[in-house]
Amino acid sequence: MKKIILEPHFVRKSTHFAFDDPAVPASLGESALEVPDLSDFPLPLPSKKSDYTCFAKAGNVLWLGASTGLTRYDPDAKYEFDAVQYFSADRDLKDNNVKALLPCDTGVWVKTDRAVTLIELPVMSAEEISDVLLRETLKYVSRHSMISHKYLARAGEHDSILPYGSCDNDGGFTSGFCLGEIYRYAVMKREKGKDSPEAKDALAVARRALDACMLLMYIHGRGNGFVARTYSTADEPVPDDGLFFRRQGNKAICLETSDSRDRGIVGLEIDCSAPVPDRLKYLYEEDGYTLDDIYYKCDTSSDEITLHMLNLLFAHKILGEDDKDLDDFIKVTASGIVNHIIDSGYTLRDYSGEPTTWARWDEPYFTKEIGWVDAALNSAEMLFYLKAIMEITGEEGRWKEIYDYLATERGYADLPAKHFDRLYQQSMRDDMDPAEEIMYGDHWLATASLFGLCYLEKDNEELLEKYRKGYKTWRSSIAREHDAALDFLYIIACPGEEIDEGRVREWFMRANISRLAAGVSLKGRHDIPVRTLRQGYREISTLLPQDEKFISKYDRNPVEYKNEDSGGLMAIESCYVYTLSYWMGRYFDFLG
Amino acid sequence: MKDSIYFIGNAHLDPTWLWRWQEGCGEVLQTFRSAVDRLKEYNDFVFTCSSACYYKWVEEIDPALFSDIRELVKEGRWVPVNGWWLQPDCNMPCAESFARQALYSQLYYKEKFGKICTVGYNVDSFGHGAMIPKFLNNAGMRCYVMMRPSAEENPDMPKGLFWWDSPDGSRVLTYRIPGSYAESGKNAIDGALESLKEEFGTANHGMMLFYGVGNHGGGPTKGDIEHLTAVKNEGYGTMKFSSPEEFFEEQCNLPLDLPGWDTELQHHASGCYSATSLIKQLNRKTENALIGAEKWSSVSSALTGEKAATEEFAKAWQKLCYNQFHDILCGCSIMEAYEDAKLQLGFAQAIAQDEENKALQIIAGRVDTWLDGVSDSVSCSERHHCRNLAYPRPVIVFNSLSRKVITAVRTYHPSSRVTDSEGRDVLFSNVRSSRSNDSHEDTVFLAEIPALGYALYWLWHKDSDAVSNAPESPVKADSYSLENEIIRVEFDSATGGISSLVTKADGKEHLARASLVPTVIDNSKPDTWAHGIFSFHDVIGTASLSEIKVVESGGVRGVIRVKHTYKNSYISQDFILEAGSPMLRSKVRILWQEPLTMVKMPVSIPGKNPVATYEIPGGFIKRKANGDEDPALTWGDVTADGNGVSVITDSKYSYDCDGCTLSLTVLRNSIFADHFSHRPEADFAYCDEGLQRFEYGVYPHSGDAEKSEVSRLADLLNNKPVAVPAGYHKGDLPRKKSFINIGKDNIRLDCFKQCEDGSGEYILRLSETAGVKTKTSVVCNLIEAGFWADFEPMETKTFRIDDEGYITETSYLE
Repeated sequence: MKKIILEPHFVRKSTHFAFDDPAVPASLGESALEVPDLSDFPLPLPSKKSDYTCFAKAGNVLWLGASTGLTRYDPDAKYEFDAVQYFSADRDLKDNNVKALLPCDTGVWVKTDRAVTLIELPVMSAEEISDVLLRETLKYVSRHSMISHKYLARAGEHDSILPYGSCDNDGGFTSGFCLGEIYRYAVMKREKGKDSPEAKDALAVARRALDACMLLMYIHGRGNGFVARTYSTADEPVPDDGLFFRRQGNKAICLETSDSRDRGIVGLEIDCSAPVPDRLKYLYEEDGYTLDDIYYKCDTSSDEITLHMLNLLFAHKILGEDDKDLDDFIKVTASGIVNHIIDSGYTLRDYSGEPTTWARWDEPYFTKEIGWVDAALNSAEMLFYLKAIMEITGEEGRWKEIYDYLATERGYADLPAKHFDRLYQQSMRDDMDPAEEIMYGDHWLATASLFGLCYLEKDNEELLEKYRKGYKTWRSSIAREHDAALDFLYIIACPGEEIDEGRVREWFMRANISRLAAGVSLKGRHDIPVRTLRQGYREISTLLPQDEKFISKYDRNPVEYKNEDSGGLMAIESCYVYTLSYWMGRYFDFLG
Repeated sequence: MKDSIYFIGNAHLDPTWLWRWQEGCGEVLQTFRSAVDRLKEYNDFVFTCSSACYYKWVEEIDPALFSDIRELVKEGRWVPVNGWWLQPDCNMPCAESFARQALYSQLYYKEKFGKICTVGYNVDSFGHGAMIPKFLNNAGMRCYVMMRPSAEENPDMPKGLFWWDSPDGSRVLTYRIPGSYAESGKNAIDGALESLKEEFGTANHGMMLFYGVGNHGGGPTKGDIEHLTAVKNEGYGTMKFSSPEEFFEEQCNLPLDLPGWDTELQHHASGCYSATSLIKQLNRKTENALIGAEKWSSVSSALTGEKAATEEFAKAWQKLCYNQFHDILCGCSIMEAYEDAKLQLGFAQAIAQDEENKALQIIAGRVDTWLDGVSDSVSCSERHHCRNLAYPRPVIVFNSLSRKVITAVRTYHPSSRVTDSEGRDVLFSNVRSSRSNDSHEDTVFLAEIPALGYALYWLWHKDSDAVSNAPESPVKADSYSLENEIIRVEFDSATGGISSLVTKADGKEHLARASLVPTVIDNSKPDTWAHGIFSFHDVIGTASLSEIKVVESGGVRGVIRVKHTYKNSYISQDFILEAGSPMLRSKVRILWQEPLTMVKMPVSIPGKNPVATYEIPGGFIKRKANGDEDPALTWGDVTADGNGVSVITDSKYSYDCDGCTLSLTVLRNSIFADHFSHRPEADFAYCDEGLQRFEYGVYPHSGDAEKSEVSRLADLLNNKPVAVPAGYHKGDLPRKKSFINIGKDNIRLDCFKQCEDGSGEYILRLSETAGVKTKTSVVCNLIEAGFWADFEPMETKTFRIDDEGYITETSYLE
């Protein structure tokens, strides 16, 4: 693929004002532009033509205000995706009833029912966007150095961020974030030198995130390679979602939640005497916490393990190259995880010695109804862990034997290619559309494991072809997202395959400058067809640019028909969707 | 379950074949009565039957019987399958025809039985195009039953159950019947059971046994049912009277890991793509007429607020759907059946013509054609609209395609000058008309017409004083060559073939040797279907050149006429090259009188590693250039080393590509319905005997065919603009207008119509044609609609637009 040069592009910045704020120009609403003739407008308009009530012109750019949002039309736009843009509540406006417009040097003043909004369009490079998003994330999202998301007390207001709020996938999301920073470090080191401030900054951020991930592999004190989902401190509320153990000396006690009550394990005590490595303690001690202040979440899923392993693989390759101590620690930690899985019969063994609910890579699971569908992904994950650990440690031993045994004798290498067949059959069984069966969170897991296998399998052409075949069965589903990072890894793994360069460009150039999960409105949109699937799920017929769709890390249907114009999601999410894609693109020379 | 055999009681009904449709209708009535009787006699028995057309016949002719059937459907004992009008040929109808097969049928089933069919079922159709899964999925069907080709005809295809995918991502769980769709009698049933047990003994799924007297109907006999009742307790796993629906549903509960198939299912009857040119031409012309007329009817409705002629169009489409039945469209029915087809498709075309004319006249009447002073004319000749010497005649040219076209348009009077809507002179020629009356001349002028739109042109009568300032013609013709700005063509003086075809921009020669010399193939061995024969290369001669001459040169086009003879037959071709066109067009007239022959038009290109590409219903396909006879729609192509030649037709469906030589099969003169070539001494009738007229085009290009202009040119050859002479009047419409704007050229408007439910809402159906993922804008200001949509390669999407312009993505079923 030819390198894509991302030109600097404007981003959206909204500032809201009260009607009587002195900053609001007095002339807003006074001068009315003659209503342009829209009857032969050449492109789809986001609002119904009769909804447009006010207009403003800035050079050739036409601003069109409607009762259902704001439209910007640039007839000279270089790219099709820039010609018509839609601005809506809550992300861009306070509400969608636009009543008056006034262009200014930096953008446009917009009067709506509830406020006056100044929409500015500062031009930024992709790298600048990446930096802004990173700083926002570090400032608002980081929780004990884990990077997932945080909730707000008041919609859209950063200042109202709640200091707590663990997430089921803190580990996985932090790994994704970390991987982006590892690539940033590699790029900065390559371009500006290891000792440059840029490289040092990237290294510091990456190291902290990596440590946060690795702490989850020790925080439970079990000493057996188990990985906690996340952890919190005693001053944070215990969510009623899953299983939590509070550390008290050498024992960890099961806290009361609905799940623990259902399982009858409230108050269960288990051992937690294995030490936390000294090098990781700073993550809680710097905030004044001790191990006794910590409660961790278990019942960990395969998702976490897969993303951790991908992160550890590149941490070893990039960070380990410059830091032997770190590399040795990565080797020990990763080995612990993989050995735990092997010794547990290809499962993750929890407090009871039984497998967790969703970390099953064993054949008995694959023959169960749900496991039969999961087998295509989980088999690839297991093989990836084995291949990755061999790469990380530089050793083969029993890992190689098990890899060969599972891949060939037990047919694990053949299973990934059955993904779409089994998913489709399940959809028929459930009378659903295949799109209704898709688990979007699985896309990154399939990508991590199948990219990883294709990337690492250098000796056995036959196996490599099987992995590529398996990867391709996911493509139609993954390509629904047009996530740049997913696209990049796919074409690295499957030479000869193509991705849509225009979509990649749009993905970066129409980015959000904020990860504040203020909603967007699709309800009033006149230019977006909606389709209803067999079980009533609604999708739109086109993937919207990032700055017109809802914010998501990776686990939501990107073409979901959703209206979030009434308060939106009260959260701020990790930047890594953008930063990982961007720095990965730079690292692998897809982007310039 | 896994080791189960499902007994599928059915009656294969060919409503036309070795009999005419009236007999087929009677056959349906008798079969349905018989099946109802059997269902009343045997409590376990289940009857499966396809084809909405048959149910409609019964409903109209025998309401009491139909009422019984409705009850049995409700009980789940009578199972309608295949949400199509009948079991059509699955290679030659266009994509929109497949949409209509489904639309009228599934809506009918829903209305009459409360549910649509979920299983597609074409057990006798002679091969299945690669996009059939798309057509099925778009009609609510995710399972499919087929039989041909057999394991002997295509041993590579999976047996039994398999996943069948089309390139757009559609998929059907497909069951290939291993034996016959009509086992009847103890011996036949026992034999079929034995082979099922053997063939699928190791399969991980159940299987279906299709039984019942078929072809001319009949259905399961008492003997069949009683024998199976006895057999089913004998102990091979589980056996039961069942339906395809139940079979698929139960198989989906098994842990199936099935083989997949991602291309077409061919070949069975390779002679059927060319036999009986009449029905092929009728099919293509009717499809194009209906699609075009429906678009204009919808435009007119949107302008006037009147309802479109949806019911009339439904009647016409249903006639077309009927005549796409595999034994009709494949040209293998009796001669008399084609007399019926002519009537029925004539009826359909007449509806199309009526509705189109009505719509175009309404639109034309609203275009501002007024010229100041025109009403002051004093003389009779000035007031005579065709011969007004003082003022130019307004002619409005309509383009039904979703892409802008630039092409020569004919009107039936000579001119001295032609200008466009903005007063610019355009190229024109006065050419020989088909009449001998009057001036003997027509005007052909170069028109540029926007997508689904019109453009007004002004034509001054030849006898007026007007002088044309048109630019110099880029077209030249001399004794043996033709050229325009884009291509240069040379003719071989010895054979009359084309010896050179050069694209001027890159200077590339696209021919390896003289091409398009009519070549005659021996067709004495194959039967009408060509059972067991998959290629036709036994050349017995080439037609001899009898005359070559320049007919037109300059102006808007050059024409060279080439005449060939072969024994008692002749072939006349007018090779036409228009200004600005990258395609050489041939208007062919053949009078053919040679029994048991085929005629092909071969084109040979230079290069290595040839790739054959063809348009198929709903997309295109790459096939091996191995000389096999292959079905295609409007174009076939051979490309080697990055350069290729496409052959585009307005009525043919059969090609072969043997290495670097692509041959269009223009006729196949077999005996009507000559099954397995059993030929007693007789004075036979031949299916391609007599006069036929058609057109084809030759288009040289570089790069992949599907990404070239072939699709646009094929659309144009098949859907010529319509010129409507207008009066002088004021109007609220401008002199040039497009009613739709589709952002990407590879997205085609398949259909623009009003919904069947009478709501007055509109349907837009769009398809991707170049095999690339695409995001496009679509703007149809006429109905206040503008939207974005993403397409997979070759994907079709149907959009429903409400009266406020809000869009829902729906299916063929609206």
